[in-house]
Amino acid sequence: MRAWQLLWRGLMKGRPYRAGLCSTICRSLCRTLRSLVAAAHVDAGRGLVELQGLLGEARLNDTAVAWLTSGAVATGPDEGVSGLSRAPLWGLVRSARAEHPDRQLQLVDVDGPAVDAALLAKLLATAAEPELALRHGAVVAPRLARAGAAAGALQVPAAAQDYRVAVTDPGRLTE
Amino acid sequence: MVLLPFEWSEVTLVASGARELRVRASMERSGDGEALVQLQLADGSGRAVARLGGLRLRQASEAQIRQASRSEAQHLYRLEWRPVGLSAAGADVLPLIVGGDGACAEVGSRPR
Repeated sequence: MRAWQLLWRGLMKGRPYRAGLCSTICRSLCRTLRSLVAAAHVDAGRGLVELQGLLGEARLNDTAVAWLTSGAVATGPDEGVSGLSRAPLWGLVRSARAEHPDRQLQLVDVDGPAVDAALLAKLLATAAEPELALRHGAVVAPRLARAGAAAGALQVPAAAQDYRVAVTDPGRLTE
Repeated sequence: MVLLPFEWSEVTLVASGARELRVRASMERSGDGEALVQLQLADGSGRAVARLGGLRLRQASEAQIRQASRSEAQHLYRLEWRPVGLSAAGADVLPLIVGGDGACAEVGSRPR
């Protein structure tokens, strides 16, 4: 938190701040807190305090702010979410972005601790992408895609005029 | 081939409560399978009820309509993470790392 304090002190003295800010939320708290829910509360709580501080400070109106997380989102169906406690932070920042479209609030997720500083700078300099993820050295961003047959969606029978989905043996839906 | 209503333009309601509606419609076809309809709407005594800039119609074949009504999943979208290129510009400016934890924070706070 030393960097925060230095930044606030500078702002208080009227020193302008032009470069971006980045907050990293990568350490797994699950093991130390022994509870995923408790870890999620801590991570989201920290994000909330940071967000409120930033949004309440008019002198940071033009400052780009990024949150760097690890494993907070899944970029594919088989990936899983290793850092689930950081996932609420993504929702929180997305909501803040919707409420403050004039602010530049970015989310970047990495898949491991080994991120070199140059790549990190590059990721955080990409203002056009509000959300980015680094997976196996490749940078990916969310895009809308047609949910076709490849997505494993239920297909409508091509030839049938009318059709219905029926349960042949009554029971639970999972069976 | 049938003409389907596609786009209304400049619609203004002038009066309400008319018990009778008289509509005068004229259609102008253009070469590319489109048509523009001019509509005049008046009540029983000839007072204007609504003003319409026009209604654009577009031609569709029976097969097109049938296909559109069948392809239920045509406009069903999902989110997919795709590779993107990063611009090289601004790569030398690393943001100030505030409040960090884990190894990621150490990367950022390394002296430059």
